[in-house]
Amino acid sequence: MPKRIKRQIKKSVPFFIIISLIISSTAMGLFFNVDYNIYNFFNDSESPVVSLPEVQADTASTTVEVQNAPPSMSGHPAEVPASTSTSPINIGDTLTITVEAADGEGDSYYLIICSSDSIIASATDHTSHTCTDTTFGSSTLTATGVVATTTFTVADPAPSAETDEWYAFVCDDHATQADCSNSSQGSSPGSGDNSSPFYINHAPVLTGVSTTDDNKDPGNTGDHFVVTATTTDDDVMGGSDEVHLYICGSIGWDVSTGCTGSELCHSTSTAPNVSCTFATGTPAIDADYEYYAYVKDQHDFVAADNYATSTYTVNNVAPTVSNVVINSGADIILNMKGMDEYFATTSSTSVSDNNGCADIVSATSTIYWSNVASEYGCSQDDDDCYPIASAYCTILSGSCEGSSDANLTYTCSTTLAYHAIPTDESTGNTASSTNWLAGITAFDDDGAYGTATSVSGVDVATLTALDVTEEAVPYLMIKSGDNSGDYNATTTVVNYGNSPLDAGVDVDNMDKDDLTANVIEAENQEFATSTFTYGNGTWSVEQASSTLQVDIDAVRPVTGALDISDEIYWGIYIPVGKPSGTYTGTSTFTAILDNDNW
Amino acid sequence: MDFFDILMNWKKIKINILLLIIIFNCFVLAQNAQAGFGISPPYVKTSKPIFPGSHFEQRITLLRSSADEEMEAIIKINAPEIADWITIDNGEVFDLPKDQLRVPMVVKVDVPNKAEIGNYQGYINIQIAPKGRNQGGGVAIALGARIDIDLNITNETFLDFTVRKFDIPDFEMLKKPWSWKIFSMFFYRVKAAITIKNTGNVKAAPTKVSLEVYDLTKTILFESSADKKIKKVEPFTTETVYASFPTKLEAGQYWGKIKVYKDEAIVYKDETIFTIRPPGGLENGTKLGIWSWIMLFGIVSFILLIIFILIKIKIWRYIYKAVYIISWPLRIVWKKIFQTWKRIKKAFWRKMHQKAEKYKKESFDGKELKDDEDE
Repeated sequence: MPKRIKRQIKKSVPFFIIISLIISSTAMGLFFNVDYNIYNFFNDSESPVVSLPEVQADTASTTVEVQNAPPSMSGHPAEVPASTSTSPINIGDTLTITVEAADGEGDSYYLIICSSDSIIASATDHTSHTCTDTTFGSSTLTATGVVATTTFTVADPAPSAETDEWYAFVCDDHATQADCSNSSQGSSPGSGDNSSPFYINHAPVLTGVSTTDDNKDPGNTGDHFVVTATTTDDDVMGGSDEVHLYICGSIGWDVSTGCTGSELCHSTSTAPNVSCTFATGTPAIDADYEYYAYVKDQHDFVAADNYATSTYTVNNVAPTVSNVVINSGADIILNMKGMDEYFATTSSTSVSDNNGCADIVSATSTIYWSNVASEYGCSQDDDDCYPIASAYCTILSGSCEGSSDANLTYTCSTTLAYHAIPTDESTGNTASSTNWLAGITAFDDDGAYGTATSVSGVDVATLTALDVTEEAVPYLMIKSGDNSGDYNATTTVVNYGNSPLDAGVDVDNMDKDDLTANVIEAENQEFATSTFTYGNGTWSVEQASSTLQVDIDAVRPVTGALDISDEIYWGIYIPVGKPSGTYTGTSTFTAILDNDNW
Repeated sequence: MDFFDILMNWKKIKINILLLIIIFNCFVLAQNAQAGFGISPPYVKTSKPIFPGSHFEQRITLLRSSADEEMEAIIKINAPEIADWITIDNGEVFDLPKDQLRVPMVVKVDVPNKAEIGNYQGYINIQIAPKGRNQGGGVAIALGARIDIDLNITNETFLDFTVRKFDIPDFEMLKKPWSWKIFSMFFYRVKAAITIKNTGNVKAAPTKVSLEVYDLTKTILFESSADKKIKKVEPFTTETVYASFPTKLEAGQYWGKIKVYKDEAIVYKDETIFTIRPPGGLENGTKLGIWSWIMLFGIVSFILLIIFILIKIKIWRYIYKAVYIISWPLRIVWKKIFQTWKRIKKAFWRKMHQKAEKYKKESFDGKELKDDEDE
């Protein structure tokens, strides 16, 4: 070989090698990496250029047993609805997990939720696929491509926890080779709302209830009863659980609507031992009242021991009295001596008790002169003080209408003596700046009481009245031309009123009873407040029908036990020539206020 | 003892018998003395001087301690200067009926307009006597009483009064239509009955009456209001007047605290409980009076009148046009909202259609593929 050729060959070898390498690499790459099917390519394209080699094979037998493949989940199993830390599942409530799976052989399948990532598939008994640990739930047999749903009751894991992992398997119902898929915990295990684990809510615990601030008055808006329930709730995921406390006045409570009867109060707290406060209505009977505490948490999970019960105590409060009116606000016109005593009343339309009007059991009263010692607390004296016992105080019928009524009307009555101190503006009356008042004290069944006196008084009017004990001036028999000498006919004037009394005396002529026009003139009569001999009388009547005011000694009576009276003595002269016979006349005794002798 | 001595003794015996008879008679007469008599009050006077031209009445009660028989009272006015000012409602002679121990009489005083300023005094004597029966022999005793007249005439004004009592009667919530606000603001009111004694010589009424309404524990004040329009009371008379206060209270029991003012001074204050009953809860019902019906009639008439006028002046078309013009922005907004809603709806259904087509196609392809595989 010539050298030139050798040299040429020598020069070409590297190029050849490089080109060969490139071609072989390309061919290998296409074949192995790109999966370029030359045979198919040429076969499909029916290339007229490249013809496939035809292989002449020898006879060889191959066998393979294709096993049943488990169904596969089309998506991720998911909680419906998702349990979250803020929306956990109450123990005892149900949780639903769904997933859609497809089976290559079109077998139906089960969705089985296990507590661990392990399931024992039962090849021949598709109803017996069981979790290695706890089977939370299993769906009914579900056709391939259809969503399977399993719903199971959530229980508290051991040890107690607020979450519990779940693993979803889908297992088919192949007759001989039933199998289960690998597990799935959802799309985002540990973080996704609808993925494993599920969140568990535990019930709050109620161990008791008590009234920690007790014994209040009715209507205690400013000082409430405080009821504290001993409660705990250890759930903290998503924030500590709120415990809702309901205090009901009767047994009966609904988790969504609360007390079925009266609710005293309710409150919430994330801390143990929830309290709530309430006030009673008014009126409220003084008694111990039972109440019932119900507890739930914010997820409407009620305490297992609902309810707890205790009592609160409403205090007895004293009755109050106001608007006391004496004699209906009218001045009092007394009855005079000899009459039945004046019937006086004192009343209050506002005798109230915040424990209810039925709590009021009795009342007493006093009608009194405003200047009497001790005023409302004065001692019995017909002149100025009239205590009225409870027997004479009555409740106006129908004024107490039951337990919801705080108020009633009391009327007390007594009789006032004729000599009760007058307080009107009679001339000279030293008591005219005073008046008469009344007070009422009401007692409840515990002996507590309230008292009020009238704001406005009334006047007792001056009563000027008299009586003359004798029906006639008893002159006896006197001859004409004679006088009565030292014999005095006596008349007794009795003070029948409540004022000092003077007597007005008006003497008429005396007519002879035979109507003969014979008269004994009035001026023949004399009278005095002490005995006298005719001719020395203090008052000589000068003419008929002229009233003389006699300053008798008849002061204002201060007791009914003693008559206040004074005598007027009379003398008469029978003028000469008066025919014998009976002469008739009238002397009028007039009650006059002795205004300078109060 | 001779005949003369016997005769003299017989005369002494007769005199003694006669004296005994007289003494016995006096004793018996004393036992049968007529009943006592009195009056209350024993005066005609006013607490304050009165004006010329004034009218004044004094009620005086005549009392007998026994009324076993009918008697008559005879009135004699002994007041020379003022006798013709005075009249007695019963007349100057009137009966005191049997069994009636207390008989009222009213002394009316009408002071002439031209009466001179000063003090006038006098008496009214009352004598009672058995009606239609003569006195027996001797000097009989009759009873009477004297009324002192003491009138001060002045041209000076005295305004004064006292409150004798007050009460807030229970009332009920109003039924419809009276519970409607237009009526309730006028007719649903707390009323306080105040008994006022006018002790002055001119008409008088409280300057103001205030009311505070509390709950039964007296801790929560619900309402507070005042009434300055209180009816005036005639001089020297006692009358119950009413203060009323608008309210919005519900049925229940409340404390009402009242203050009565004379000028700026509080002359009376007290408190009472009152009850507001639910509609229909008051036994005798609520009488709103004629004014409520007049008001209802007035409102209905007014509405009818307006309608009539509107019809009459054919104003409806103008109102329609005015509303049409005024509401153009609203109409535009409404149109836009409607169009937007239509677009959204259209887009939604288009999307749904596309999805349906897509699913349909996929389903068809899948089925074809399966068929191929089966083949």
